[in-house]
Amino acid sequence: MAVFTDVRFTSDVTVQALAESVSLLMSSNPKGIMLLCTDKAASWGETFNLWVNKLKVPIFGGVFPGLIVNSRFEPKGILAVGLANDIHVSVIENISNISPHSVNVSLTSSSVHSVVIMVDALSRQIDGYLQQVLHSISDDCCVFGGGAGTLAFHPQPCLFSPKGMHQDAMLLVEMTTEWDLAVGHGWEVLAGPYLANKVDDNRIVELNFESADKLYQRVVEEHSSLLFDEHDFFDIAKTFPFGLARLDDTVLIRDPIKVDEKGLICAGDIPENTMLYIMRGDAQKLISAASGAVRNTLVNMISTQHMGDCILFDCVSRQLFLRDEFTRELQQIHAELGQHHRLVGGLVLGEIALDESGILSLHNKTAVTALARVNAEERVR
Amino acid sequence: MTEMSRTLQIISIQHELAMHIGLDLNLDKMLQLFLDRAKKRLSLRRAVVFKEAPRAGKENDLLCYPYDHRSDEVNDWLVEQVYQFNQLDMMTFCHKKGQSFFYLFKIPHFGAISFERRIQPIDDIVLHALLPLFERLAVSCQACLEHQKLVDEIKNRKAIEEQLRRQTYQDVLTGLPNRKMLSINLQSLLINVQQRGQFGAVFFIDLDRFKLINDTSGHSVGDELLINITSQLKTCIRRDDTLARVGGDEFILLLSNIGSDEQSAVTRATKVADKMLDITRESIELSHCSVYTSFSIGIALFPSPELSANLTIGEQAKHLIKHADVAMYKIKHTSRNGYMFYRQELQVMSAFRSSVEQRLHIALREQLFSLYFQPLVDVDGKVVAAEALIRWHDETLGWVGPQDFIPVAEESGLIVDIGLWVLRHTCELIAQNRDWFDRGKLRYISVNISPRQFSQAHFVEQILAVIDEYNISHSYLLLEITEGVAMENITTAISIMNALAAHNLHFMLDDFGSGYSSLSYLHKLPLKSVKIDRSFVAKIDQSADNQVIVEAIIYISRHFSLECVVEGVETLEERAYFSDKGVAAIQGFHFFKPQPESAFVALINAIH
Repeated sequence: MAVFTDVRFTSDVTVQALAESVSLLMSSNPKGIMLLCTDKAASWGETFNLWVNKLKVPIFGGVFPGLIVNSRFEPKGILAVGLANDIHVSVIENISNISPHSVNVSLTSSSVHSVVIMVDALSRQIDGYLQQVLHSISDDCCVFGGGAGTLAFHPQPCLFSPKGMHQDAMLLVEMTTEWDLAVGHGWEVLAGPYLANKVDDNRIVELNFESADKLYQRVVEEHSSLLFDEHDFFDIAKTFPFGLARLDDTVLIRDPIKVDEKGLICAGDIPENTMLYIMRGDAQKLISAASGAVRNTLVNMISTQHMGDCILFDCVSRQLFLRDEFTRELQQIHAELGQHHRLVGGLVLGEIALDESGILSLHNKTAVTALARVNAEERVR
Repeated sequence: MTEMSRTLQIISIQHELAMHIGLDLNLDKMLQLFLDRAKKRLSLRRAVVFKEAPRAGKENDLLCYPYDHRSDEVNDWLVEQVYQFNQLDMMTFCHKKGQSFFYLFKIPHFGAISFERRIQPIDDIVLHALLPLFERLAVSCQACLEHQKLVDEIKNRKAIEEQLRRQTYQDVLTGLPNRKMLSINLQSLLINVQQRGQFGAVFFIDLDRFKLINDTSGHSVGDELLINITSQLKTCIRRDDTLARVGGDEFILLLSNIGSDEQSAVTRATKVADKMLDITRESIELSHCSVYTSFSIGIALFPSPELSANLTIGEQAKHLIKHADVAMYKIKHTSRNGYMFYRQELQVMSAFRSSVEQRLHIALREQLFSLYFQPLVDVDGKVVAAEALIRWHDETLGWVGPQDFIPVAEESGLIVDIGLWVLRHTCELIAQNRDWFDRGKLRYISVNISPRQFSQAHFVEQILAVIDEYNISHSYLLLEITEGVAMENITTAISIMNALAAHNLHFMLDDFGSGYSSLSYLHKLPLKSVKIDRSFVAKIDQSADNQVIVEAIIYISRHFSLECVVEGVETLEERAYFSDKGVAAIQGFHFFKPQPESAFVALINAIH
């Protein structure tokens, strides 16, 4: 039994094109719609709000730097996906300013099997809100998602819900569909560890009691032929992310995206007094890690379960790092899944995944593939 | 990971978690910050702190942080493990349940902490590195508890202080400032007024007929009315003005900054008073009934030349309230439902009133009153009855007219004893002269019953007891009440009158036409006679309007089989007018002035 009723892609990023796609999609009788769009959609504003008001089924989604349709990377377009199972969309607004502890995050139903989270990537306190979500879900609930926005990194509406477009918000999409996650990045330690002794949420101010940007530039320049004075910061930084060493020997990646007078700004929070590594990447290892994670997940599926359609939230900076080879990553992931399975998704600014230890994290430079689980009996039907 | 990196990692975990202990003095927040950090740094699914608490039966009452710790199979199991762990003499313990490892650590003198790790256990070396942290956490928990205890103590002390302040300065029923608070506010207002050159005002507001509502409908209705009135009065004033409740039905309002000259202050105060009087235009809806009420408001402006500079601020405040009270008293005893500004003449009247009240006590104690009798005649001028009238000559004040001392007696409550004195002496006179009645010289002698006397709890029994002391026929007496007395509460009035009528003791309605003039109740009240008010009688021969009214009253009285009595006939022309109107009796100076008792006795005895 398919999880997607239909998938519609158009390269024309207008509300009119969206309306036409969704109109065609509606003939498949979806119970909900996932909508992924590229940059231009961020300026739809009131036109989108007026259109969505008339829509009869719940919708959710966001604006992302690129889209994934099977093994294709689409830098521009609208991807509308019809969902066969019920969904419930809720929005938490103003998350940068309201303390996560003062907001009651609760799910509407106990029969929820998964929660897809989409969040404005430029918001603060994302991790605090993720921990609140974690607190409200049952042990067997699957959580995944990604950060929305554009590579321009300036605040703008980037999330879609039945209420319209949102900025500085988090979407919680409750689903009855069961998913298994495959999380992989393939980055390796280059240097470190360094003590992040002074931090402000997603800004590293000091490393080893030294100005963070100076230490970072010095170490990276030692290992690379590139000089920060001659290149745009992110052009070099996308190749040398930070890694947070965890006790289970996994490493959570943090992308340094900007440098300002106060320090290095990362896509995702850095805990104060944590130990950081500077990482390096190798194209083949990155691609193998992403596709290998999918293979492991498939192996671990129990015999009564089969895989249905898939969603991939792949980090935009992987695409920036891999360039032309990014398509190879998609092809290998799709090949692991099987060409007859539909794979849709987007390039995101931070990937969200609940790992098998029950820890919900915002990752960077990581590929999160969600594989819909279809029980054998459903498949027969 | 190299050996060095591993060592650094452990040191960094220890350092990082240690830096997250004691970041807040609030226990919840402090633990929340530590637990959040521990969860992240140690890759935990869950971290919970349990505080030791007494355990009763099977109920687990370990306190958990965070507080919304859910009760389910795993959590209940965990609580049980923690409870058992607390009894053991060991600092750490690990349980494996399903895919999870549960690590329990003691927090000395506080409780325990539980870490849940899925799939992979925590390295022993890391566990050992954690142990010193819980010693630190214990100290921090104790510090938070001490801090909280201190905060609670301060809060309690503040709450008690606030309660004491309220008890001292607030009226419990309405929540308004009481007299003490009012006095403080007024004094500070007076100081400010002197500095700023602005006028202010003190309103003395009295709720008319409140006692009657309280007595007849119960105290709960009275209380509800006061609360309702309070909220309505508040709508008439500004936030900075002080409205205080200073007695059962008495409020005092302080207005500040109402103008820089007296005229604008008067205009402003008048506006506020008008607004207050508007409240009583319609009935006030309470939970189980609706009541009509009205206000009598006395207003004193300040600064005032009368408040001499020699007076202290406290004395000035007292004087101002007294002035407003005097003005209120005046309006209450003239029209009610109105307001009056204080003038110096009122103070003079008030002083006189005070002397009257003082001397009345002496007069009553020393029996210094005398009784006069004014005969009533028939149309032919033949004496048929008399009205007993009290007179008072005081050695200090001289002759004090009833119009001056009766209201004071009524207000002070002395009227009840005075009324009984009049009744007793009249009965005594009747007892001494039964033959007047036996021989048909007089039909009755009437005595006046005051509103206060009439509303006494045991009025009927009291009256009967006094009359029976003298063993006289009840029909020799007639009780006069005014319309107002009957109308205060017509149901009660009817019941009292019926009770006395059953003992052959009847009523005459005095001053008919001067008050409510409602003809509709005439047939409801068990009356024997009505006495037409003297205001209609004066120069009736010249007033066509009065003639119409009087003839209508006579006609209606006849219709209801009531005897009609006329008072205030002073001229030949007035007498002539009534000669053919079929009235039962006429009273007035044209025939007789009120006679001292001896003269009256002689007059009646002389009749053959």
